[in-house]
Amino acid sequence: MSLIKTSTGGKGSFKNLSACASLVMLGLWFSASIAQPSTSTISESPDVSQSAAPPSSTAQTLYAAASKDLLQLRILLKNGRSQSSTGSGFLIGTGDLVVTNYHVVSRLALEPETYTGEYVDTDGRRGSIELIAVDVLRDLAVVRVDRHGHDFFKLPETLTQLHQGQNLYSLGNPLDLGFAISEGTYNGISSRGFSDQLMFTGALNPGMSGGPNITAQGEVAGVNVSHRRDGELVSFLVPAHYVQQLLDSAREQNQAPEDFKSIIGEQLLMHQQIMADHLLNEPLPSKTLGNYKIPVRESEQLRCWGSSDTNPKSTYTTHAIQCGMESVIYVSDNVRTGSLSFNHQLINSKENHALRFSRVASNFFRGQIWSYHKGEEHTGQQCTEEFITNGDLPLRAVLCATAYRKFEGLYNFTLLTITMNGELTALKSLYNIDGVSYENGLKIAQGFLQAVGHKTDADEPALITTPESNLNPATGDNEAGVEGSDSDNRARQTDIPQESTEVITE
Amino acid sequence: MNPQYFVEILSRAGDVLERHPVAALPIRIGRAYDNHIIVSDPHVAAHHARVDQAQNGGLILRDLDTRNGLVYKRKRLREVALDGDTIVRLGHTSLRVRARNHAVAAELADSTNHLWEGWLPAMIGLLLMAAQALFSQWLGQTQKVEPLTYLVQVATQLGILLLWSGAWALTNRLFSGQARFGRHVFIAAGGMVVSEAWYLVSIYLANAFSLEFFTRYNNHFDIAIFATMLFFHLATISPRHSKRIFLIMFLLALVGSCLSLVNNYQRHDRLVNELYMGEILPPSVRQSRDYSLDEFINSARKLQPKLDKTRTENMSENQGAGLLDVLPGQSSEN
Repeated sequence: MSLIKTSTGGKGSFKNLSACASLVMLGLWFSASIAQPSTSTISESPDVSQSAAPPSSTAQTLYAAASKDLLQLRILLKNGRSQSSTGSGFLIGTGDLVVTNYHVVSRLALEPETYTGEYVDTDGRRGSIELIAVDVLRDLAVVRVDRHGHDFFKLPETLTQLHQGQNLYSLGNPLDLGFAISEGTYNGISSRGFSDQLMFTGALNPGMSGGPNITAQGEVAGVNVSHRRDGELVSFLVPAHYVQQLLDSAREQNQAPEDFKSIIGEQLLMHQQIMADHLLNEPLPSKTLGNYKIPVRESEQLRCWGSSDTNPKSTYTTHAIQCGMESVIYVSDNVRTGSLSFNHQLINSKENHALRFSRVASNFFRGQIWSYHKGEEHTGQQCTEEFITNGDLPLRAVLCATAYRKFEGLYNFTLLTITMNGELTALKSLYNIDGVSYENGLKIAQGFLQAVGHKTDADEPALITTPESNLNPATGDNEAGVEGSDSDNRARQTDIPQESTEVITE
Repeated sequence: MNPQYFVEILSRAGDVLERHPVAALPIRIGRAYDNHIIVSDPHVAAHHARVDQAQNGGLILRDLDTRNGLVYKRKRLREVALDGDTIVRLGHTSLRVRARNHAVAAELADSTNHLWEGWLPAMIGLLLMAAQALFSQWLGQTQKVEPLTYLVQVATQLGILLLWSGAWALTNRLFSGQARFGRHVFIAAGGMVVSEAWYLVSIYLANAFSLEFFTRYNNHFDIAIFATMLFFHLATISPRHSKRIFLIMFLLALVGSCLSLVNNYQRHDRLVNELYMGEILPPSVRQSRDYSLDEFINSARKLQPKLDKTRTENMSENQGAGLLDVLPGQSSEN
């Protein structure tokens, strides 16, 4: 469904290219010395830089041409006008519309009574900005400024196809230090998120968000958005065709909408409907964990990891499968939504005493759901709990929901179940369903509750029984030097909370 | 000498501190050593008062023109007619005068179980406590441990029990002259055992019959058990006032329960202690029927109106807090 087609190159070429990828950063203070070729910045590898065309020249030319339409966007406190966050943006064509990330201007959308914004161009001139349109799912926004572009950043009707390994250049103002251009390579489409993103093997730093990413020919390839904290130079771009869609709808409307909260709420509601339909249109695939059949849906977006604890000192062992999305929808610094995660934990007693094991199982079951009723973003949890049966297994189930205070019709659901099949084995499952309508939340919860059951012979074994399948392709590269026997342990250790791995680059 | 009268110096609570037999009237009372009754109270005059025969045949106490005089029922009087129960205050000293033919009340029935004293209840209490410590340690154990751990657990709990009972015994000695240590040990240990047993029973009721009420409000049952334990401690000290103590403990327990409800409501916006029941027993204990999936989802559906109602509540007071989030310390540089 993506407009940008990419040739999916072999893994070998990927490694070579990323190893060779060089990074050039030209600060604003260097642009004054353009007359003298700034060989000092790349002097570490003279044999590469002096053969054929010097690698810096493209970046130099591009920066010189692009700088007129490149802006830094600053979000200021109305009270005192001190800056609270900064990002980047760029003027499209000869118009007065500036493209940036939604997360750069999210405070303007959600708290217009507290925040205001301004732009600063590469010459230090300032002016006010007005928020026109947002696309919270793709993390894009359009603002209007009091000046016009010089027709450098263009978005033609048909975008040229990108090829893996092709040089791309990101512009912006990293860490509020000054405008910069960073060179990297295009490495295909990442489908881990809700919408496709381009993988850019180059440096993106906080403050560059919303800045343009262009080809050597100056065509817009995407918008800087984020990078992986656990990787090196693994950065992501919002593809240009989403920018086109948002610009088209922004041009249609004459006036800036007054209330962005309801627009964001509608976008989130629309998105969750699509996600829920997608999730529910086929029965949940199941795997086995111990003697249980558990719902495990694995996809590009939903990744699963296994782990186990077989401490010889414990009176029990645990085996767990946890699945979660690597990306979430950024709504504000306090609210990230749209994610689905669940984990199943199988607890086996090493002893033969039911009462004592029930205390162990209770320890796993207790205190899994938190409620805070004074939160600014969510209400407290409302829960219902019961002993139920789904026809196959008796379960103790707790279903809790909280409502979003700022977005009507959106809820977070938490489903917690435990079942003790026999007296000495328990299966605890915890499901988090964030940012869904009430009906969809109930439907998804019901789907999960129906899918758990006793193991039958036809069921596919889960990850945990075949640890060699759970190697993380993302870390696979780093693991190359590690011996095979060790690698599945290492893969488990890298299974850190998913939310911290991706960093939004403001 | 055959005493005809008794002058009794009383404590504020009405207990007799000193009893002085006197042979005949008049009886002179004061600080000086030529009195019949010598009172060592600096607020009493050297020659403070004198007891005489009244005209009607009774006794009368006369003030001898002193600075602090005689006080009867909060009033200062020149002279006070005395029957056996008239308590007069001279300075800081309260006293009464009784003739030898004063009629005393009938004896009280002895409600104290004198067999349940001393070593027997103390040993049983210690054994109960040790058993409870061992059981709860065994039940909650999730790691393989050395037997020494059990010993430490038992010793700690017994130590606490002895300290607690010791404090009660000391109080008992102070107020009623006997320590009754053994009985206090038994009461405290009994309270702990009942509390542990109730915990298990409440989990059983919740799991077997879906009576989650008992675990949801478990702290109120704990308060009741604790109040009962305190009642027995206090009633041991003062068996005569057990009705009054019961009433006070009942009211205190009520206040404690209300405070805990208010606390839950304020902190969590709910009256129950926990968001959901965390204690699970094997399905084999289940006696009631299991609910169907549809029933469960339907009861979850009923939560939506509550959520929608609270969604817009408290928002106005939170707006003010929102401003605080962006004070200079918070504003990041990225």
